[in-house]
Amino acid sequence: MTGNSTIDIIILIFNNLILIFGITIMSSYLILAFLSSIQLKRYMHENRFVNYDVLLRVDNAPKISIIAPAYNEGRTIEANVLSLLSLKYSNYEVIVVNDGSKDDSIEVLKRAFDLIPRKEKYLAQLPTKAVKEVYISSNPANSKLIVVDKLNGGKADALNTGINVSNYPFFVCIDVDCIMMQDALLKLAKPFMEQSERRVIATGGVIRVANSCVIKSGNLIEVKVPDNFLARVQIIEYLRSFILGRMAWSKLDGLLIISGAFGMFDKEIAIKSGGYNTKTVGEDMELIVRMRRYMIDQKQSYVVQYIPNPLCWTEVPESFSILRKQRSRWTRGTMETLWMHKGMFLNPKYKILGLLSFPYWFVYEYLAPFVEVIGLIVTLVLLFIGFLNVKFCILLFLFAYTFATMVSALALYAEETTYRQYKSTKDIRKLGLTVLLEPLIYHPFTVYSALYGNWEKLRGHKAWGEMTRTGFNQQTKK
Amino acid sequence: MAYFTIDFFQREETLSTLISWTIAVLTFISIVAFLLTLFLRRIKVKNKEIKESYQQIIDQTLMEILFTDANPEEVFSKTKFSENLHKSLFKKLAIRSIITLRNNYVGEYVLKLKQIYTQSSLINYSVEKLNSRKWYYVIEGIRDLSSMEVAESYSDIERMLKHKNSMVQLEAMVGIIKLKGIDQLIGISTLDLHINDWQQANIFYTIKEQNMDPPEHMDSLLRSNNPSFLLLCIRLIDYYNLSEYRLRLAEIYNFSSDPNLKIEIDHTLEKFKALAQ
Repeated sequence: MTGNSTIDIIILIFNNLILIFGITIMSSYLILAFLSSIQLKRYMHENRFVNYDVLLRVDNAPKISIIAPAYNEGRTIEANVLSLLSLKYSNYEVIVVNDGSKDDSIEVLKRAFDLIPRKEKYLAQLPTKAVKEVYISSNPANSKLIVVDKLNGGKADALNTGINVSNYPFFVCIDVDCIMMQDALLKLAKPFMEQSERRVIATGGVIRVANSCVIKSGNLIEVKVPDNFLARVQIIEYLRSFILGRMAWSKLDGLLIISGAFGMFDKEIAIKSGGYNTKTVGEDMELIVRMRRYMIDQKQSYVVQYIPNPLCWTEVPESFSILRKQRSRWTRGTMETLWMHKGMFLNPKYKILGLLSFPYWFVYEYLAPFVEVIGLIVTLVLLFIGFLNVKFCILLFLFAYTFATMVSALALYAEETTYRQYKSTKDIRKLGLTVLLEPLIYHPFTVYSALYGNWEKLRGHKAWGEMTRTGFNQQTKK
Repeated sequence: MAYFTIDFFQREETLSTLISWTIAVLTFISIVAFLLTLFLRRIKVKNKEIKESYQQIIDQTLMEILFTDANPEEVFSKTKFSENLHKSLFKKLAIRSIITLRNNYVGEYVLKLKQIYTQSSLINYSVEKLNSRKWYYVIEGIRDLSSMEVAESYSDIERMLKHKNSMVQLEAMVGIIKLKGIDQLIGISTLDLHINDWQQANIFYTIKEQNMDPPEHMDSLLRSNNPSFLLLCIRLIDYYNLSEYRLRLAEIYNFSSDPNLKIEIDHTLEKFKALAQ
């Protein structure tokens, strides 16, 4: 080929590695999609018969602390907290942790909920930044509410503060600007009541895209597909991930992540594991890995349960710059978690986690952008110097493209056969068109963002980055 | 993206053909998935219209039978109720409506609803489901028959306590209690079943919904060797404030090594102590 046998061999080996990578990643998507669909079907059958109102009538329903860290949420915090206080559940409290906001978040809360300082002393089981004050409401109607005002320490620190303040054995972490479904706590709590030999240590549900949805007083009224392309494409991405991915991992008992936007945890195990790690921006993934690792190290039988119901709606980035910040953070979080728990990699002690989930995450989530970009660069170089058949390259590109659109089309179909959140046919057509454009526009950008995340990590970048949100109140005006 | 050296050149044509065919298959699947999505949507919209039309027939039939002295058989044919009885969807909706009304009415209306359920042969559909190999149909059958208080189905439902599916087991537990009252717990006490908190919550829910009196034979229930069943009994003692079982609870506490039992007994005894003061 090149006339140089060494270079030819290198190219040959590299070719085959890329080929193996491509085949295995595609096969894994198909296997995960297949397993997910079986599990999803079973879950839908079972869920038909579940009466969640049972939890409203029994005294021993799990007692839950909802912990909502807030940073500069002054514009929407009152409505969001009101929404959290009116959930369909009996045994819960809401802990809003004002993480050193620079705006008027705490003043808004004080005014809206008649807050007074709590007499009990703040006891820090988990170390956190200093707490200025813990408030409760003087209005009995808001007796469920606790507000903590503290120095800025980041989301993980705020969550640990919430855990310290909480009175109950389970906690739900939620982004304060997420919209929880009214029955979300009922669905999250049920698996904790079903545990027998295996202790349920965490449950998580599906996060959906709230952009352009009609939201009034913190309640989701109508689901719509956004006009913004980026928001639309993230719907497809979330459907693939939550419906065709996590269900399978849960079945394999290899789920490595409960979304940071929304999940329920066993407080005792979370504290014994050390709480949220403030040194990573991927605190959600890192906590689950650590909790699982703790249970295995303690030789205790456990399970992490995934609930495929849409339980929480969140605003996703609508601009490339904000999206890049988000994906960069996710990449840094993944890197940090993988590095912190590198001892699990291919370690049989951790069973499915160490032998399958961890390697999978490392190779197909973390390394994938590198493989793609290097593969593309080498292809272009070889094309340029005439060592590649153009027609064959085009075929391979089409193969990758049609595979990607097929998986997305299957995700859309799975959504239609299960929760069918998008009621109008026009919305489905919009999503269908988005499926065709995603591999060409969105996917390359996410690859770039992932690589950018690596670059930021190398440069020592630790911040979350500001997630500018339009806020739900504006959406209702459209 | 993969690419090959000249070593593979001779195979490249074969590979190209293979990849072309794969692309065609993937494209076909994508198109089919998308079209199915749209098709399903249309089917659902159509089903919704059909359901609405069925519901109208069912509502008209039930209201006429319940609130007039009309002969059910005549009403069935007048409203086309009988004509649609061979359709599964119609039968499901009809049973659901009957059960909903049964839960909201008392006295003479309940008797009429039972009459409709039997005379229309919907009861046969429920029995068929009870004997189905599919667990979700079995659950539907148990629910139908226990909600309509079909006493003859008791032994069939009791048999389902040994079903391999835990949801069917739960439904059977609730079903036998609905049919013959809380004392049917004796039938569960001897089983080697772990009754988790969720299942216990469902049993409690049924007891509360039906305002059931406490079991007459609590002593017999407390002799169970099943720790999870004992836990249920302790919770019942707590719920009904049966303080006369204080000593028995203390005995169980002393002999048991189950921490959950001990916690529950502690809590109940504390409550009785507080009430006594």
